Amino acid sequence: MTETMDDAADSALVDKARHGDREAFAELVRGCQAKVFMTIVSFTRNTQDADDLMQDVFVQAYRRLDRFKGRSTFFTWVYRIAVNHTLNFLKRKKREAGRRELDERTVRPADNPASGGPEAEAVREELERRIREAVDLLPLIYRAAFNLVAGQGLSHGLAARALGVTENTVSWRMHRARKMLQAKLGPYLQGGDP
Amino acid sequence: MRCRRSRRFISDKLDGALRPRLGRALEAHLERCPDCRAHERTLRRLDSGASRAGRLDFTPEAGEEFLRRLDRRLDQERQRAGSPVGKRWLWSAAGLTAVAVAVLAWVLVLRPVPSPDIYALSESDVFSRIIDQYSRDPGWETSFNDALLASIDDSTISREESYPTDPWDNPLLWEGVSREELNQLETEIASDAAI
Repeated sequence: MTETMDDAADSALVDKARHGDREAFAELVRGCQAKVFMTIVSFTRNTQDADDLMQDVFVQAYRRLDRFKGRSTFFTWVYRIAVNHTLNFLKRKKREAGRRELDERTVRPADNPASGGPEAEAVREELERRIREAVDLLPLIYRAAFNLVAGQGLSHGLAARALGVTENTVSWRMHRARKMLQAKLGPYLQGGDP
Repeated sequence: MRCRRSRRFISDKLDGALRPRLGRALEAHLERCPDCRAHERTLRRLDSGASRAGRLDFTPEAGEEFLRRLDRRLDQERQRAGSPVGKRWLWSAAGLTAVAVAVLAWVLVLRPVPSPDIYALSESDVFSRIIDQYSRDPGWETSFNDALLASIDDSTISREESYPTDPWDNPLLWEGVSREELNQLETEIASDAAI
């Protein structure tokens, strides 16, 4: 994943926001809210929870702007707050079955280029559903790494910063997560094009 | 490279995190190992599915709506926190209220109530007053002594007044006297009367 905002513009906006410029802060939020939201919702699978969590995340970020030292981009910094906040939320709530709720006014399925006709599409959708369910059952540390890297496309480096661990740890967790998912989804992953 | 090790590196390869030297070794292994090639295909299928499964778009309307709500919440937070000046006034008011409550509590509950024996003129109070007067007015000492002695005299029953001069007039004498003694006394009185 590339950084979402130009660093210089980023720090200028942060500087203004620190001095109470709310429009500057709104601009910072606009620059990364979609990715932050998608990451949170990939964990919660619930748009209402994700919306509440994202509000908390940006309120925290606004309050702590003084602590932002500019060693990373604003996005990376907020991303870390978001991942921490979401993981804490999930630890508190444990795993709640049946809470999957995606409000279509907030999110919509991304356009996936269809190939192979309706039957192949149905098979693919079924596989995706099974993968989602299997990922949701992973232990949280593996699920977090897998969601960020395989789901959101983060590099090991960014995922490591977001999770507060080393890149080696992310690498190991990805390997373990894939192994667990493979064991669970084995028959569905055999054959066919990826 | 063995298969077990190769599978660990296949995971890194899919994430674009494999170092070039290891990458070359892995590719060499994959070329001659059909099992590991199949393993790689399986993982690619898994990743592809996971990536599509989580792919959603955040609608622009939702983004703007979110910003409006965030703005309102930040306003509320700021009002709740208050300005620094407002905070100082708030703390001052709180401090003054606390002092007022403490004073009131002291007056109503904790203030030492004057001991009732001051009004009943305790011995210690009386004597401390007398000693005080003594020290300030030496003449007062004499008059006080006279008054004190007079009051002692007044309150003391004189021997003559307190006891009957004739022992027979004392009723207590008769209560402890036995019948024999009574008879003897009667005889003596009779003989006295005869005299």
